[in-house]
Amino acid sequence: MGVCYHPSPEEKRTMMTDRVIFVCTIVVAAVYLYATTLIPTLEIGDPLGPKAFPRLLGFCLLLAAAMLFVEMWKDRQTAAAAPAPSGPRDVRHLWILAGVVVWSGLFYAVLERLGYVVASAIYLLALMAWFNRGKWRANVVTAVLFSVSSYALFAKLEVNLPKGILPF
Amino acid sequence: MIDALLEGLLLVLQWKAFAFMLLGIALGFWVGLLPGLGGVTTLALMLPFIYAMSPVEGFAFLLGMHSVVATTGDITSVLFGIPGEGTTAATILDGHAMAKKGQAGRALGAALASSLVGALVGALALALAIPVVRPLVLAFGSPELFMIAIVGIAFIASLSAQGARGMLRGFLAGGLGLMVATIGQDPQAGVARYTFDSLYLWSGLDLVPVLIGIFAIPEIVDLIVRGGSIAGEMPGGRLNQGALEGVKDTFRHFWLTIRCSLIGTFIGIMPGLGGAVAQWLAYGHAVQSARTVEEREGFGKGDVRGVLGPGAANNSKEGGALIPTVAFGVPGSSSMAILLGGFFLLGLVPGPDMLTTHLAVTFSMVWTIVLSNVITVVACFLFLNHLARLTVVRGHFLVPVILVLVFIGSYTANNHYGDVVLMLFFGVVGYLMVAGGWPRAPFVLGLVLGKIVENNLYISVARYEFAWLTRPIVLVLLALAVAVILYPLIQARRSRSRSNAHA
Repeated sequence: MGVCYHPSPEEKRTMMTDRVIFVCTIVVAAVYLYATTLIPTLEIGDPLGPKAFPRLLGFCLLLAAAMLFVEMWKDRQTAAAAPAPSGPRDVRHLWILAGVVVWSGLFYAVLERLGYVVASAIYLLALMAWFNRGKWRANVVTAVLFSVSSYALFAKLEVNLPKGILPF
Repeated sequence: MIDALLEGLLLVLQWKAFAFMLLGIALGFWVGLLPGLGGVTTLALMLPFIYAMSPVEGFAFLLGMHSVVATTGDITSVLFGIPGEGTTAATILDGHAMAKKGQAGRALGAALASSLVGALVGALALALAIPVVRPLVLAFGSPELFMIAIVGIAFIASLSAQGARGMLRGFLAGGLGLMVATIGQDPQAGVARYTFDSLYLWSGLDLVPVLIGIFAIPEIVDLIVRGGSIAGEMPGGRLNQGALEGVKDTFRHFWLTIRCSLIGTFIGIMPGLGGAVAQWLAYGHAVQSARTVEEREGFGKGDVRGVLGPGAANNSKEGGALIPTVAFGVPGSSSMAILLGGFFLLGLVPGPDMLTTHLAVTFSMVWTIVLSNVITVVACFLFLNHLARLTVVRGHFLVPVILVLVFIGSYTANNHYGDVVLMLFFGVVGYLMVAGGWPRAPFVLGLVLGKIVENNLYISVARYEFAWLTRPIVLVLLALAVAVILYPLIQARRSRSRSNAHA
């Protein structure tokens, strides 16, 4: 039974996460309680008023955060060392993600102008050209079929999608 | 009661509801087989499409999908050794071992038959629970409903993560969910809260974009990064050989299958534990049923009982999980919380109404679970040889299509770009929560229950002032909530003093 206790990387990681959660909650609760004071009060026969529940909530949250702090304090020896770095992420993955986000942004931007069918067919085609490389015929068929059939299905379900440049 | 039971069946058999159920089954069938895409994600993605449906149609669609996911998920677990769903991981141990021994057909037969038995037990439990809990629920007033929501959040917070700090994390997540729910007009006077003069926030945050963000975006990011195609090797041979033997196994160990179904149902009723726990408890129970040491050592190497146990439990839990969701409006898991969101979209309020005016709708859910599982299992047996081919669709092919669905889902709620931004914001929040091990279920529960909790608190105080706190059921529930909260804290203290004594 060793006297010195060495925390595992996993324990260090949860310690770090708890710190982040603690700080986030304190900030959110503080902003929330401040915003609660901005709610106008009405002079009508409302026993609680619009502020009571939020106030209760804000204080409960602060209480829970304080309890978390106490638990972290009691466990402090397990996290004496510096926080473990979260594993290195593949840079290529981040680029792919960023690309998908930008392309999706473009899709949203032109959706109402071009209409759902055209925009989503182009959107799908480009994504599949990247993710499912080299299978042109399958990609084109899937992109067109999916956008047309989903549009028809959603029209049936009374989900309104932008028509755009197509007449139907 | 019997009338409502029959009416529920007729409601599901109406052609439109039945067609939506078949659509749901087809989706759930496929999603269950695919390892990259989970049932919870799909449930969130499909939520926006039920706006125009009637309550019975909407639930036939959502439940039809949700209740078969674990059935087909078992197939992927057996054939490839990769869980088709998070709730079917336990089936791998013996199911995949059997497949490697050339008994894939027998393992599949056992998994399918036990899934059906499990689903039927769960549905029966739900049907039997309705007359039992009805007097209880009808005796509940606002104070009791307020407290039961608090107990639900307490349970889900303390059980969704380990230890005292885990529980507190859960509580903080639940509290943040409740906070987000207070954005918009207050339920009594209509005073705008936390809208920061933005008209978009005036009516509160729409559930659909938030749910899609929290539950679908992190999974999609994962799919983009990881790919999600099945790399495992398919066992050779015709799969329908020996399938009948697997069905016979189910009846050979019928009581074990029933007991594991009951374990699943019970875990489903308990808020916060969820299907991932049910399968392992059932597996453990199956191992305990071994009488000799040699028998016990056969587990993990292809004992059919190791397939029957989790196979039954991960299906029976759905019926159990619906009991608190429908009767008290307190969902026990993420998927049930999303389903509760579905209630509101369809204009239903869970609780007493579901057991009186809408009793037939509640019974239609029982029938949906029964019918969809019967249809799925029969379809699986008919096409047993072709099932494996369905899993070949690659994750990379899925990503673009799901992205379009994500977009439509968040946009069509109000045809407002604000919803897309909202979805992306909560997508980032959800991703960070997953990365940091912060449980998402309490957050969603708080978000979904927020307005109801506040309303019930308001009515309690308006009607009884603070005397509502002294009502007997409220006191019992309060004690329960305190016990659930204190238990992990006391345990943490004990384990600390023990480790100090050692040091």
